[in-house]
Amino acid sequence: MTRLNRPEVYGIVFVVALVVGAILVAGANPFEVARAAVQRALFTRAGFLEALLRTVPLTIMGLGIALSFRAGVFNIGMDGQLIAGSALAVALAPWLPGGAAGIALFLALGIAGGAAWGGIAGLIKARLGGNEIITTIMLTYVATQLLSWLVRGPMQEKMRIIPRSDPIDAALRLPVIVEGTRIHAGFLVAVLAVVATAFVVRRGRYGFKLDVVGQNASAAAYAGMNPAAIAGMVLAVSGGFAGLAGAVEISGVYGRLQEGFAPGFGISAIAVALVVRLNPWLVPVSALGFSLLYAGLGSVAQKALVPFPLINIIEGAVVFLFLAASVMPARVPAGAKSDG
Amino acid sequence: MTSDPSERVGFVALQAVTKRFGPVVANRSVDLQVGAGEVLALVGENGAGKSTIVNMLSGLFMPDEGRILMEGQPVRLHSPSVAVRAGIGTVHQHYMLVPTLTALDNIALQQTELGLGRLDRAALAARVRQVAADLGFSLDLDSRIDGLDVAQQQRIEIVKSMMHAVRLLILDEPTAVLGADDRRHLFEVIARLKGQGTAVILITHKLEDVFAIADRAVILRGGRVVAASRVADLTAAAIVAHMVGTADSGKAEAIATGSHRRGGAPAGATAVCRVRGVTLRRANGSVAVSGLDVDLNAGEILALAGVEGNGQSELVACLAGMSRPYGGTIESLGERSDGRRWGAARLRALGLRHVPEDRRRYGIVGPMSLARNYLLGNQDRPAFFRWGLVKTRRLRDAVAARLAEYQVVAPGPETPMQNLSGGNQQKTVLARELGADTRILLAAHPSRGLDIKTIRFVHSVLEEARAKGAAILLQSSDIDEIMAVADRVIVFSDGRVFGPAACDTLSRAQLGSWIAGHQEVTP
Ligand SMILES: Nc1ncnc2c1ncn2[C@@H]1O[C@H](COP(=O)(O)OP(=O)(O)OP(=O)(O)O)[C@@H](O)[C@H]1O
Ligand SMILES: [Mg+2]
Repeated sequence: MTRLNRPEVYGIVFVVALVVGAILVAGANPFEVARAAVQRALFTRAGFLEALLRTVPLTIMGLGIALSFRAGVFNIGMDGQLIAGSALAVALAPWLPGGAAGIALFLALGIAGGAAWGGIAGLIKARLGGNEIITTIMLTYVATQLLSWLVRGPMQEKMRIIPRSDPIDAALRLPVIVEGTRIHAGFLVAVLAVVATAFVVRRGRYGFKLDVVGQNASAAAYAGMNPAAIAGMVLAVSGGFAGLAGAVEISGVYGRLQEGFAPGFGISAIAVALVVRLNPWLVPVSALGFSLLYAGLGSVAQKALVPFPLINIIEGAVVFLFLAASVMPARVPAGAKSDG
Repeated sequence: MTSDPSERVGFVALQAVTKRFGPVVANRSVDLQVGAGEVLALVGENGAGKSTIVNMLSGLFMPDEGRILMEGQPVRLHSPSVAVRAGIGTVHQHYMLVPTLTALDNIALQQTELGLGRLDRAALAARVRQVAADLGFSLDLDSRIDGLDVAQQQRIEIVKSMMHAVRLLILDEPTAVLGADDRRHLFEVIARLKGQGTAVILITHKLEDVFAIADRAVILRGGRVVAASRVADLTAAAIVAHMVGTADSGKAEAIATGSHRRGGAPAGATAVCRVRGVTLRRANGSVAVSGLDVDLNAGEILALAGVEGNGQSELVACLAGMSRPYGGTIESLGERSDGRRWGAARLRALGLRHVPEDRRRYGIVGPMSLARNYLLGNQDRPAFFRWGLVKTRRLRDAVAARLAEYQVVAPGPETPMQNLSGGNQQKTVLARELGADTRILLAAHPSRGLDIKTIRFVHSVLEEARAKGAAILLQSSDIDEIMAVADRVIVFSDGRVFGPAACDTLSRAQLGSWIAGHQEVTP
């Protein structure tokens, strides 16, 4: 059943043509653009380290997306949940003890904040049947505005110059684990998250429930599960992952709350998880792949090879190509099972 | 090209057709033909390969070896639209209707999907009405599929398959879901088509269907044709002997006639479930039953009978904790239907098991493995979990044992559920729900879609559960089944409730007239 007259193939050809066309129209050489991107991401130390650094939050968030999407719940609002978790952690940071316990609490606060923010959408879904795509997007707008107010108002640094918070205590910072780089202990947090999530998905009761709800909600109800409650709950859980990613970024990289510190990670995480078909073991691989892409394209933008908006177009096109390629082998011709 | 001129070449023929799914050989060098104006019955146990033949003839997949001939010419039916254009109409074992669309939209959808030309709705509706009238159906084209009962859905499927000039009509287990009246009606339609020269392939597990309507029968076992013969030359026992592959005619006879009789309910019954003054409403809001009082006792099989759609499904749904009755109360295993804890999870924890009516929709998750499907409904039982993780080995062993016991045709516990034949999917649900420690078992049409040998087996499992003190509610539209295994029967008919009455003292005629809605036996 490998015929080439399939919509995905047309889609891929169309998108590639579109992007190449756009680059040509912008007066650049598509090969040059591609070369520059690959060169920076794979063959420079700075580019590669930058990508590795970005892999950490994308992995953690991709895991959260995998959980919620497996249950058929589309959490589009991880960006908001990340902000909520980070803000809560930074706000309460002054009261935390130092050392490992303090860091653990800092991350736990991040989880709690993200879970609460996701939980709002979850409650609306479970109780009122509100569509999570809309509520999570809306809550992201709310979170973005809140953040913008916080860093200009109550949480602004003492100097009151730049819209950002004071740095958190150095004792709450995740230590650098590779000398001479910015690779921090958040890396280990991500590894732990991958292993734990993979176990839950593959062997856990909770993962089983998510899968059943996602694949056949009526069967879940007949088996005595509560699909609405499970769907609502998973929004809080995946919000917790977003909040964790936020806390890790702050504790590991920025050290303080500021605007736009994880731009569009929530959306990238969706692509990260979808490309590997929601398989937690493969999420880090895919996260690294996307991070390399961003690092490469970032340098293309800096060198001003092509106008900036085109970078976003290329980015979107690559995500599209991966998704199209990943659904291709999965598609079974309708009804080709024995009894429909 | 016909090798043997003495053999009449059928209108459609399969020659040495083999179809494999990985290691599974679904059809092994199958030869088969059906002539114009002939009704061919295709019989065989669950997983024998019947639906696979249907799927190849309807263009869903191509044979791996061998070829398909139409009027003596080889054809390549490489897609459903090719099959439809060639004049092959198919009503699949599981209906392929979109529940939220109207009947007319479903037919329109098929027309566009198959690229059979875009018609305007008025013209299409007129055509559909014409086809329906030719078949003697009166259809409500504008109601949604999910508001229709199975017999009506089946009529829509038949009309859908007949929208183009059909010279071969394939019906995959059409009678499995039909009551006596609808079945008779279907056979009238088949007889009429046959009279018009249409070839018909009928798949069925009910031997009486074969004798009622078929001219010839082809019997499959393990993917092979083991017998092909005129029906006039066959007996029920002979068919069974071929199906199960036994030379022991006594054993075949016993399976064919179901010659065993229930043991009888123990005296001094204790009610585990009390239904008091219950009113049930159908999905469309109309009242199906009101003021229902009945007890379900430990150690008995209570049959719930009647023409579908008279509130039986609604009662079972309430008893299963899927909903609360519209009026009145149910008290089951110590929980009350107006209580806060009423629900499937609580009742299951207390020992309720439920074989739902539509097992494909409500009982299984197609892409998941058989092992994981076995966890459905068992997800809160400690037996298969430690610290929230599945005890994989334990689960796999338990499932393998159950599959063997029920003789499920499947490569193993890791096989995806959707790869099983229709009847084997049913069996896995039964194997899961008919476990030990059952206090109440709600079995909705448990024998639907099963081959006769398995039906006998399921009946014996029900009787075993009863002997262990389980209370069993058997929803069934099959009088034979009810008379064979039930202790008492209650009939819902057009808003009226007959019974409960003891089966021992009830005549078949009386039960039949209750189902038809008459108090007294009609002379
Ligand atoms: N898509 C598939 N993938 C793998 N195996 C399949 C597939 N379809 C059918 N099979 C296998 O082929 C065999 C025959 O299946 P088929 O559906 O033809 O049986 P059947 O005679 O229609 O049975 P039933 O009476 O239960 O409907 C079974 O063992 C089934 O598991
Ligand atoms: Mg079948």
